[in-house]
Amino acid sequence: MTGQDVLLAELAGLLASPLDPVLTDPTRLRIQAALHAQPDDTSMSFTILRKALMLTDGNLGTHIRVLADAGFVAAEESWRGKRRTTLYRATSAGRAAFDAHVQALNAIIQASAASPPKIVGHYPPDKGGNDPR
Amino acid sequence: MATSQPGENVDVPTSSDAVRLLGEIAPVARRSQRLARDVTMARPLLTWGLAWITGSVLFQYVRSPDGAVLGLLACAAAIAVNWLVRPREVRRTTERRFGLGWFVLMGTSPLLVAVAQPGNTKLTAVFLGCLWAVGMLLYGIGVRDWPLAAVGLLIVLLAAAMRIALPGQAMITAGVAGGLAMAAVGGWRLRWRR
Repeated sequence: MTGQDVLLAELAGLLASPLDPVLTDPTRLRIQAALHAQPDDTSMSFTILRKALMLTDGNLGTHIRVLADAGFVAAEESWRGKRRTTLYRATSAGRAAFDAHVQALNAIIQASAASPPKIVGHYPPDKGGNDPR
Repeated sequence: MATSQPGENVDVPTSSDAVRLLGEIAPVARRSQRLARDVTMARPLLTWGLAWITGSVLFQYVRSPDGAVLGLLACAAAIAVNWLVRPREVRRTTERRFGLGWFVLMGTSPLLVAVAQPGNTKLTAVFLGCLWAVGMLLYGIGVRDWPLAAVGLLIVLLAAAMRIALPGQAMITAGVAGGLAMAAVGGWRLRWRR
């Protein structure tokens, strides 16, 4: 196995990690990152998340609902007297999706950094005339 | 605002986009960890710092036994404030367990005093301060709160050094310096409210 084969095999392995459609939005990726940074047992209020992300209430509310609908974020209401606080934490599905998404982003960076392989053989010429042969 | 929705085809980001996205999430993660730590420990550190300063000054300069009683009252006030005003913004499922750990440490303190039998009430206060500072150090290591762990270590080292060098000043020095360190870290952490 040549060095190039090893590189291609590594890249193929990395690219097998899919980009998650929910996390392709940069704001949602940042929200998931803020929750992912906490230990499994920790949940944060909307206010703290907003401060960590420096987002508006509306923006955070919209995106966190999408993450919750996807099962990446769990919300829990807590009451003290008449005051309600909603606490959010990353679910195990959310953590796995975030890890896979970050891995996929790293794979894209590594793929572009690697020298393009010399393609030989049976690729049909594309319509733009950019036949690699 | 344009956002991609689940189920849509995913546009694969370019390499420079991927670099930018990964660069954006690292500071967010750090800020999130720092905020959680600040919210959890700001008020306890501030109240305990003030209680240590007040208690050690009263203990040192008010004639015994009133000084000892007032010093203990300052600690009791810190316990009461922290119990009544707990932060709601960050919650850990392990917080009851950690709370129980602190309760056990405080509760077993008189037994350890009985075992060690320090020479007088001021040495007893230094001994208890060191014991609780070790609690801070271990808690800081447990929750990866390094400034808190550093404050705990500082108190233990300072108290030990003063006990050897200037025994009569050990309590007031460890109490005021430790209290100032705690109050400073706690006060600094309260900035998350701004």
